[in-house]
Amino acid sequence: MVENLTKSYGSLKALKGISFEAFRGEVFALIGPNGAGKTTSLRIISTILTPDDGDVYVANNSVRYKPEIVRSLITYLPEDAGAYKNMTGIGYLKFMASLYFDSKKDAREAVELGVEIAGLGDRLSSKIATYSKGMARKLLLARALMVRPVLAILDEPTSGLDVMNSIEVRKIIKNFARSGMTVLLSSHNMLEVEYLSDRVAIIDKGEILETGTPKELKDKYNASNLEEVFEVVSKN
Amino acid sequence: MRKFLTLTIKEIRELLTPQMILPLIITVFIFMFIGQLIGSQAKTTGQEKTRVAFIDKDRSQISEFVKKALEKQNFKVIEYNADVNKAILLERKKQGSLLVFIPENFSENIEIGKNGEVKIYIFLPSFSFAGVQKASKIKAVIQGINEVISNNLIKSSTVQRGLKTDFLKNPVRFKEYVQIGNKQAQGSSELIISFVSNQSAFIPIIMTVVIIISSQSVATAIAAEKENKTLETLLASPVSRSAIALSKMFASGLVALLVAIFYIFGFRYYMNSIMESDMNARFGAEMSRIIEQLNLKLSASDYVLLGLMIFLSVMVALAISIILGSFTDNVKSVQAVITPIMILVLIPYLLTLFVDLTSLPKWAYLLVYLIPFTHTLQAVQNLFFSRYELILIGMGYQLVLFLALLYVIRMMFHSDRILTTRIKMGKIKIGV
Repeated sequence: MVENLTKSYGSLKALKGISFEAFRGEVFALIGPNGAGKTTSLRIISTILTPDDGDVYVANNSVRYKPEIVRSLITYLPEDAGAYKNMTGIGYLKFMASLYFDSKKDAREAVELGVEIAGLGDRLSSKIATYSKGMARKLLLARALMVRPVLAILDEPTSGLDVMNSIEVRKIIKNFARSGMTVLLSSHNMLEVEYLSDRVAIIDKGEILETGTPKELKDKYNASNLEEVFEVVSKN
Repeated sequence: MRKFLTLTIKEIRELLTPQMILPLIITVFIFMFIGQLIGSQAKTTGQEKTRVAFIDKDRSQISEFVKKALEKQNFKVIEYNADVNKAILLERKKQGSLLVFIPENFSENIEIGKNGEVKIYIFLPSFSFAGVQKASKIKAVIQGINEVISNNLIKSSTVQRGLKTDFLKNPVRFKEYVQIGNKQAQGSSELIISFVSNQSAFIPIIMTVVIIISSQSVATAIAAEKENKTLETLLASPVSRSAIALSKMFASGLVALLVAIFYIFGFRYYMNSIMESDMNARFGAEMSRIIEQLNLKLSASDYVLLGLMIFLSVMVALAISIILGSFTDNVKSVQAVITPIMILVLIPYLLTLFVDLTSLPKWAYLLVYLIPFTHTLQAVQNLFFSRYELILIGMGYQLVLFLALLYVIRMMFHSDRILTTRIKMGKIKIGV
């Protein structure tokens, strides 16, 4: 649950008191143009940035006061994130699993799941430096989902990927959300959001302009897709 | 050709970035600053009268002539009637650095065709070459005296008495004594300073190389993590922020240690080869005697202290590098952000080469000693002089500074600053 978040960088007000709630097992999307405040919101929810005011609760744990607990409940996939290029794919999954689990058994299970999600086969033994952008993104997504977080925060999960890779990544996210995990993602690709999300929030200039299911929003603004909804909402 | 020129211009534009030019400009200013400091000290030394204690047991015309010649060469001659050791004790209390002793029968010896001997005592406060400048000045005066007496002898009828040409050319000989702390040895101050410089030259070189390599590696690691956004992944994972920072420091420290071991091994081999082939061949026996008399040897515990000093310096440099590395979000800027560390190593290194730091103006002295690496660069000298209290003060200062820097790192990693602060051409920018 996000409550009245505000955040400024010097004189720039990035967030002007936004609030929304994502329920267990749903895919919630923040949509908006570049510089709308999506990444700042996700960074605050993932405990990387501290809000100037307001708070976020993940399974009733405040990011302000219990960030250590929140970090054990979430995973965060930054936009255009990379991995350690000198590591192999499998080495990277093992390394990240060891940060989340004390027990070797739990870590091994997570890695097995990661291998399955990534679907990179033998290439997992190759160095990440040799991966294409699509392969690297799938590896990172596998890393984010393999630990079965309460909340997976994905910033522009298909950014920069070709059509086939984008479709694969969307499928992985959708399948995972069905297993009871909450997914919070950001995107400026409205069609992707419509396909993936149960509910969306339209954000622009640090403010939430609308919240609802894609169908509710389309009906409300008499639009055929979310792009048209966004166009009308942002003009108002 | 046109295409080649276009490409060359593009390459030059790529290379001559503000990040590359700024450190260059700063380096020029640093050299100017150091040059001015050394120059002003040399000027002061040249203008001020150098104090020299003078004991004349001969009381002859020639000894009086030596005294006058010293005064003429801008020496402030302080005459003592006491014996040498008492005079040395009194002079050292008054920050004196030279004593000229003319023994009885000095002039009588010359008159009967034997060399008159002048003893010069030099009290070394440090092993900088500035220390021997004063002694060289005295030796030049003695040389001048030699010439005058020699000319008089040649003119006089003593020539007909069949005196040796060697004596006629150098009727006055001098013996040089070096005083370090309470220990004294007969020998050339230049030779001792060369020996100590050669012995301790590897410390600043190793320290500089290790500091630069480790600083660069840790700052690059931070910048690369920010650039690839792997730092964001780590910061959002259930790992303590301090562990993220400390693991980088520890790993870089280990790499630095490995580099240091290689360098120490290589440099000791290099120095030993030089010493065996050059110094030992020419001055081996004399040097061994002097080393023994002045106790110019580092014990095992001295080496442990030295190792600890270098370790602390590297850790301080690593801590500064983590902070500086956090201010950049790309690997290309790393070179520019770690420039301050290189400057902090360069200033005391160049100064200790040419200047006795204690002779600097008070403000400059304090400023130089605020630089943590100065203490390590001075460590070998302090060990030779048995100034253990200065070693401990230096270690304490570096430890306190390191802990303070660790606190700053902890604060940075626990706040937004690690992700949001960037330096752009001298301006600190906060934002994503």
